[in-house]
Amino acid sequence: MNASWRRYLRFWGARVEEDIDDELAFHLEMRAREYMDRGMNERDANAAAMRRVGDIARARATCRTIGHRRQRRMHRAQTLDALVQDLRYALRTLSRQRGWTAVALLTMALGIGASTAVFSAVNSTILNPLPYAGARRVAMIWRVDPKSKVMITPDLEMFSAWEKESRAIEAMERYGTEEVTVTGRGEAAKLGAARIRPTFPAFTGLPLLRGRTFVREELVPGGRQVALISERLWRQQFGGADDVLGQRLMLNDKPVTIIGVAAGRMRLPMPSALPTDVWLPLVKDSLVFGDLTVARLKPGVTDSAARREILDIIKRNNLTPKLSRSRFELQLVRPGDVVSFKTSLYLLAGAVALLLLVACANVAHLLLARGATREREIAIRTALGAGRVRIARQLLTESALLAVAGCVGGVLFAYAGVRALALLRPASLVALAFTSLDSRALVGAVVMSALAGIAFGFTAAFHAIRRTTADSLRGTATSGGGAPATHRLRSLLVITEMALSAMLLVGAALLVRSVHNLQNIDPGFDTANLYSMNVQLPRNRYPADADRRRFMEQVMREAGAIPGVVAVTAAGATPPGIGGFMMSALETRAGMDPAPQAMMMNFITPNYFSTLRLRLEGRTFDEGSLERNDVIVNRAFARKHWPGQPAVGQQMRFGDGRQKSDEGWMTVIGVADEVPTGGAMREPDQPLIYQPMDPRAGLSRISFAVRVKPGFDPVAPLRNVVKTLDDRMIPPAVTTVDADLASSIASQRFTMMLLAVFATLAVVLSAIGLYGVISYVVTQRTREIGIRIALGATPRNVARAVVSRGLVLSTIGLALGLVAAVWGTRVIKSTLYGVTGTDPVSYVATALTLLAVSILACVVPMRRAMRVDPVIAMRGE
Amino acid sequence: MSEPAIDFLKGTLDLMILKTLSWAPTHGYGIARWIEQCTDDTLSVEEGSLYPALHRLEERGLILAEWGITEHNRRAKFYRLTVAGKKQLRTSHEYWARFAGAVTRVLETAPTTA
Repeated sequence: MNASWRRYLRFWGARVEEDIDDELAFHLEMRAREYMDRGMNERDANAAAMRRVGDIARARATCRTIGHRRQRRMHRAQTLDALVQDLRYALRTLSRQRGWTAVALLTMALGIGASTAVFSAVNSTILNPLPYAGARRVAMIWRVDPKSKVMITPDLEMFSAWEKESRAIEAMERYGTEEVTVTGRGEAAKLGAARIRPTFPAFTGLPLLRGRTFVREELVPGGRQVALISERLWRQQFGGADDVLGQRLMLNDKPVTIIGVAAGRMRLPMPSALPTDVWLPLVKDSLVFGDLTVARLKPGVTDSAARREILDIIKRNNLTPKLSRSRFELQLVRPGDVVSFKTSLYLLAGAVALLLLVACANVAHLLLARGATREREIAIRTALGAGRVRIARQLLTESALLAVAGCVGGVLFAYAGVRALALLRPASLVALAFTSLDSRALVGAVVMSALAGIAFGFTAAFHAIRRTTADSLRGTATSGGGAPATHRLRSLLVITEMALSAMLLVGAALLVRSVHNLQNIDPGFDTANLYSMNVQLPRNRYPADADRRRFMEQVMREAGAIPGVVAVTAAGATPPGIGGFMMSALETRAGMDPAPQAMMMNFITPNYFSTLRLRLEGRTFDEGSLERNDVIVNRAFARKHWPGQPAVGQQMRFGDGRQKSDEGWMTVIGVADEVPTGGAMREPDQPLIYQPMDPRAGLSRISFAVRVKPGFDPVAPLRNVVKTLDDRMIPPAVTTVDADLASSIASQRFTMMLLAVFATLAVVLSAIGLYGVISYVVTQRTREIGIRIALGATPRNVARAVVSRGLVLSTIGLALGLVAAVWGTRVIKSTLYGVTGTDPVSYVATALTLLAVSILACVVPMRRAMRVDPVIAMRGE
Repeated sequence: MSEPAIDFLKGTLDLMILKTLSWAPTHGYGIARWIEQCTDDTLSVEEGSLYPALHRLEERGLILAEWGITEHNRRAKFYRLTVAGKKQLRTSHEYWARFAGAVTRVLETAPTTA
């Protein structure tokens, strides 16, 4: 094939038509000659020959077609051949410089992988968190108390009115969440459950994998006990078998028939602590914690229009909420907005974008550097006859090959990164579990890196060709050292990398300090050697209040008897947990405010304060407290209702002031310091009421706080106590209060860790870039250095010169980066705690770190410079 | 000057071209003349078929083309058989012999009277 190919090129070229004409003309001529030999004259002979040959036009046309076809095929083969040759050469070259290639590939892969993973996370949790049909139009509806800004769910009357009359809403659903205990299949486990209407699966647009939704008989109290299970539960417990329908599941000790399997992607609009594995029918009075309302707007309806309409509907139907006669607002909240760590996620997205830029700059830098070192090779090839275009194409192929390999690596890293995020997430960041690889983010990152890689490869090629052959072969070039344009470009790249790294480092430093501050917040009580054990008392086995009280007292007695235990107390919750929350109007002897207040509550046993070592002014509860309606409040509560006066002795009662009788007054007997509620921080404005543990309160969840002797681990003994008292109960979780407090700042810690990783990567990449530039300069200026040494410069002088050049570049980059950081940290102010955006410690630390790294990056080139032999250098090789 | 007597099947033309070239490389006109001479002008090659056939054979790699000089000092395109061409010639020749033999047998066999 090669032989004919070459021959073809030599003799055909682009002259297909001409050749065919020549060939046919020859034939005609020979035919005419035949006739002339027989005696015809020339003209007649030609005419006869033409007649003889016949339809020459068709022959010519056919031959042309064949000729062009061959030409095209040859051309294709030629291009392919050249491409294969280029690729093989590129592979050879790249594998000869393994170190460089590895760095370039790794840089690209990390940049693409990290940025895609984070962008995917942002997309799945904030921008597009729900896999529902029409997800963009889905929003939760809340009532907002204008004063306290507390959000409450709308009640059933409102819901029904809206469902009937709203024209802005396409569909709506009510649902509740709870936790159920599944027994009977291996160890007892707690699963997340939801109570939904039969129309919920249709609302999500996700069809059931098996079975059917609920029917009327199953929606009444006392009706058939049925449930849908999640795909995950189906595969785990039932092996994905088809006969799952009709099987039974023991939920909370009651048998429930499985009537369907929900798609794996079906989940509640708002993420809850446990993924929903069991879907139960929303039966009247079945909700434990109240319901939530979600709606899907019709296409084209704005949030404000919908809000106006539903408010109208309430007014029209004269529906006033029972608790308040004052104004209230309605709010539509998109599922993505509720993500508590939204800011952190955006912060990470920004950080990783910076990292990607650094990575691109680094790859570009590496390509330029390589382009420079290959000048000689290219010069030789040019001298041997390779066309410029050919060389440029070959270099481009190299860059393209590198870009493709880097992208492939990037895709792998991206996939791994997404899995890592989902697996390593702190438990509180539930939404991250649903992160999936976002193809758009991946394509974006890949395209950007590929473009950067190819663009800079091209630039390198371009510069490499422009140098004249003689100069390159001589190896001296201009005494300034290399193509000035490339050098400037590379210096610029290094400065950029340094600046970006500085920004990342500042951000990481600020976050590290914030987390440190958060971890060291004084919780207001003594958390050393303090454990909390949360127990859930299933209602079916502890129906009566007396049963629950008895259990509680038994646990306290048994736990107190354990040798290492110092004190045990019981309450609705141990900080940072919250016992309960209520909204009510409050009346004091001084007067009342009719607007309902939001306040937290906790039912406690008398030794609560002493066990927690929480400071209490006044006294704690005693046996008669329940009778006398004693209460204890925290300082925030006291400040709010009795500012400037001692709260002990004051009286208050719940209600809107319409009670005429003198009943229900409660007396404040003590004021306690604030404790963290929900987060690690003690909010100064969170009022909290403590009440004596009242059996009639119907508490099914009890938290035991246990103080132990230092070094004693009570986890196993405490669980044993519970097991002995009731072996069908799920073994309760026993954790230290310190751990609970720590996990409440899990989100910040997670962000901090990731940011620290990104910053480190960026710094490493910048160091590599700086090393490259300084190294290059040293190589180019070898002659000059040789001369200097010959003229008497000491190696120390030379070293200083080299290092100072490197420091100049990094100082410029550092300065730019710090300035940019000041501006940039304004954005993340809300995630910082205890530090300002211009915290000097962070900035100084960043500067020192970068300078140190820069000096380190210059070490190797510096030593090379110091060892330059002036004789060899001046000879110029 | 005989009229183009019989129309050729493309395949047989290819076979004859290959055979002609197996004697010696020659140009298109030379192939046409040789066939006419061999058959005493019984078979006359139609030029409209000859050159497309030649070009197709070249595309298939069975023959190679090269510009050269004739004995009259004219520039002409000479064709030559390749190794693949030689093999194809052998195969086609065998096939032709079998085919022709079979047709002949049909034409000459008379039904035996019962």
